Amino acid sequence: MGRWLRGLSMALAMLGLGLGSLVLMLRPTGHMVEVGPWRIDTRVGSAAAGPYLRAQIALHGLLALDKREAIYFFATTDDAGRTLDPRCTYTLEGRDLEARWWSVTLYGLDHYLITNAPKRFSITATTAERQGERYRMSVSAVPQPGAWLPAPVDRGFDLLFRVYRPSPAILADPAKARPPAIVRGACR
Amino acid sequence: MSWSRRILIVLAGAVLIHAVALFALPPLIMNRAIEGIVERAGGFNRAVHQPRATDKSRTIVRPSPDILYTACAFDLSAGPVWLTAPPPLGYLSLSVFAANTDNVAVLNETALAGRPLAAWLALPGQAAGLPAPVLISQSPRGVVLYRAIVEDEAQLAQQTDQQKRQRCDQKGRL
Repeated sequence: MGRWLRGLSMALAMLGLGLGSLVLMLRPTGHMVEVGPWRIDTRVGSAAAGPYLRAQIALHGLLALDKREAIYFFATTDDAGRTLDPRCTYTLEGRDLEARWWSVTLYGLDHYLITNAPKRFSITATTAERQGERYRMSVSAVPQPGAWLPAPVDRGFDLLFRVYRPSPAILADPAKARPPAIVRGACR
Repeated sequence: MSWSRRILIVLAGAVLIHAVALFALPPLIMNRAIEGIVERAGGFNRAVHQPRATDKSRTIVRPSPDILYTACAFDLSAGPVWLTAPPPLGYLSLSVFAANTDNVAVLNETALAGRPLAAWLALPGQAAGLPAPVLISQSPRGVVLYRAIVEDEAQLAQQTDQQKRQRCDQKGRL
């Protein structure tokens, strides 16, 4: 019995150490670049140069486009670092960037598109309000004039900024993509 | 058995488990994706045209509502596969993913220059004699993904029609 228990505890220790160390090494940290409130995982869309990067891509960016086709920025906070709040209205403003096209998509915290009356799930380079090179949109649970991206009434959300066919300069330095500022306005 | 020996055995076992899990993870994850596509398409080497993502879409996380996807789980064991699509109206990319999740080939509308997409997908040993372009996969199985951006809603009907003509067929043109 004693031997059996010792064997079992050794096996559990092997499993715990082996898998635990793998989980730690595949964490989505250390590859994040921050641009204002936006973060980009620079591994996504990369050619897998080794087994760890391949496993990280499988977990966090399966079937993602090659970086030369698209890069992806996430935001869970506004410019002041406050978590995006469904009670508040946000203005996103930016300037055109060196890329084929871009979009801002809103997701619930479950990572899926949210139900909303106008069935609008994104604002894009085509649908944003424009003034010359500058574009603008609002994010709110309350209907807004102009380019309005509906937010949930009572649940958290985050934003994904997709940039298609970014220029080599943006690929070398994601900050050059100039993701939009996220400015909090009035809150209910 | 001494404690030091037990510790060494545990550490050696942990390293082995770590390595096995590391190399097994990507093909396992990819296999799930392949199985899902095969189920929806009714088999390998068949295109499945996804409707535009909405709040009801729950198959993959963070779907883009602005992209029309066509997916194909390919199996080259019986021969190369012919990939075709009509001349794109706007942005179009075709990506080939091997069984270990590697993105092994990309074609886009810039390379097509207004022409229809027509390419062979083959294993290295199948490529000889095939007319160019030939995309090579080192693994017999994987996924092909067409992506077209809906940049202009006015073109949605045309783009949806084009999406339905994106194909993935074994061995020859149909």
